[in-house]
Amino acid sequence: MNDLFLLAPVLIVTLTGIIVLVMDLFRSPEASGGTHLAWLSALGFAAASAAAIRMWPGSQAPVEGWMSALSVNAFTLFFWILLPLIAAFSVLTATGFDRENNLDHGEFYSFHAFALAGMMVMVAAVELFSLFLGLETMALAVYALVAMRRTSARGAEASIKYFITGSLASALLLYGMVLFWGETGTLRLDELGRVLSAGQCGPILYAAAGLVLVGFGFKIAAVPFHLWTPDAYQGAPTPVTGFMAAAVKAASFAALLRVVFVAMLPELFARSFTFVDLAIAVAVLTMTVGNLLAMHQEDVKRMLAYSSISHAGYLLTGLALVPQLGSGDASLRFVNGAVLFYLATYGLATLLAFGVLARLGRGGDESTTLERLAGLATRRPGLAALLSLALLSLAGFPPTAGFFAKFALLRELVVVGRGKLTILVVIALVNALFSVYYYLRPMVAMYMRKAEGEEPEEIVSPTSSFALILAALGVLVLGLFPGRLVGVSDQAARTVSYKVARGLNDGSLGALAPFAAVQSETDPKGVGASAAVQTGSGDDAVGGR
Amino acid sequence: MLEQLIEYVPLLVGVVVAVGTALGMLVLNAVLGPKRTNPSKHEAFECGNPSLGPARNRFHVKYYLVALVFLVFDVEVVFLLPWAVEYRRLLDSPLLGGIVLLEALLFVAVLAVGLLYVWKRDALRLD
Repeated sequence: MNDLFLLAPVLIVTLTGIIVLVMDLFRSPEASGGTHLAWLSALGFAAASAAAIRMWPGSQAPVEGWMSALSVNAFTLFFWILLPLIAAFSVLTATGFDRENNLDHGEFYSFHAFALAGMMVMVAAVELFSLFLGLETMALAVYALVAMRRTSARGAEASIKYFITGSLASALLLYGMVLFWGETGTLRLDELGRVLSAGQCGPILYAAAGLVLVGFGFKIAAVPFHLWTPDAYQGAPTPVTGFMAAAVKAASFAALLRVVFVAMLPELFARSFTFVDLAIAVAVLTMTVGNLLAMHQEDVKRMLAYSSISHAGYLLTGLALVPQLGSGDASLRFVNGAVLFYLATYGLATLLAFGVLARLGRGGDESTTLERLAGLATRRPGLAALLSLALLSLAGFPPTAGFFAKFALLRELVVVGRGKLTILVVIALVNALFSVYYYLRPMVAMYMRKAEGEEPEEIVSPTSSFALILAALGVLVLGLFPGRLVGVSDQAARTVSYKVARGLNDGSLGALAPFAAVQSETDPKGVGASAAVQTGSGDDAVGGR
Repeated sequence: MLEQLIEYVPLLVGVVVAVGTALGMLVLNAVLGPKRTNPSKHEAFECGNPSLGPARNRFHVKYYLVALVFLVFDVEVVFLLPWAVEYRRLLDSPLLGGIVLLEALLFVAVLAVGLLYVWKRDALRLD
């Protein structure tokens, strides 16, 4: 029964999906969906997030359940808090768009719930097969969401492209897992890591690692596996695009981090320079290609799709640090922490941007071009300001959360890389600089151009505005006071280090020492007392930076 | 490299035997099988009944949905069978028996929601 309590957030999300689906069945055919389904699902997601927050204090010792397939530690809980919040924002910002596009029925919301449940299993999995199950649950629901507008030819094309490349990625992942199983006889990540560190890495293990990494490459849209992204993002209903760019990417990254840091590190990565070189090459390619292609897009939705590719590139630089962490280096947690922080802030800004774009789709209008944005600042100054804030955060301007995220990530590259990664930092900085160009183009259109001909109308939706303002506040608050989230992401990142996962304590804990102290103090029953201690240590981590 | 691959030789043998058997049967049949045709052999086989027409009939597109739904509930029964076999043994412990029964009911309940869904959405109506 303990297992069921551990899984409470996932169960809440699943139940929300089922309740929304059934409620919609008993609606009279004439009545419109209204916003109550959106509110109900958002409340369910928020409750799941709250349940995960409630579980946080007891999370220092990783708790495994379901035959050791899932692990509910701080890393898992970080995403169990983040992902439902993203989904809640996503369904709320979708309300107006759904009404105009005739999408406001139960399926739209319950598919969000089922995709979310899949993601939550995926980020909690410490065993490859459960990870795959979660991934497929998520992917199937998202394929359906992309195809939600059944009369849209572009939507159908996007869904088919997404489905075919997604299936290919799943197949590659499965082949990789099969090879891992064939060579080592286990699918558990920590055991895989132990076997890899004990024996020699033969060619089959390299093939297995390569296949798994390529499968993830498709999922996070890293170059050269990114070709499906622009079409799928553009053809999907705009709020769904926001959900894909924020939640699907965050969940896939979380799973990738766990696989790399628990199973493959340091044996495959640190020992063989080729894997790290590949990771660096993919990171550089991803950010550069994404940025270059984003520059000439006339469609803002497509531009943001390319921008999401380049952000995956920045995030991948975290993997470049692996070889620098060879012997008992505890700074690993900062790197991971910076990546988690980046994922959270990027997700928030992306949701905000797509949430505003969704408001353009009045009467099923699919146009999200720069011309469509012209004069938005005079028509709807609030929407223009919100979109500008989102774009500034994505570009990394100071008062926003995006600035601090980039700063923290690049700082770790400099400090932990001990100067060896300077070129990577320079490339990332140049990329960030170039990206400002295309992030400013929509703002120029909104503020400096007048609409030609008849002024287009935007969707009026108080619910969506409410969610957008909340997200905007989040972007600003996290930019001005990042300390708390940095502390939380560091704490989360610590639990996914391979040393913690394998229960190693080789006396070289270094900066992990406060964590170890807290762990010994943690009494499963004295949840309140340990919470105070942990908050203190989290603040220390911030102060020590 | 080679030693590692040798472990996979049984797998290779299995594949060769499987493909070889299938191909061999086809070839043997084509070479050795007597060929005596009569008109009824060219008719569509409908479980022994006299056939009503050509086999390449057009089906109502909704039959596809019904087939999908059938598949789901067919698989549900497949999953319930091993559970039913084990359940008798688990009944010895009263607590565990209750939990296991509850879990199976939960599984059926989730699928019942699915049935309710296809029903209310008129997927079972063929006209």
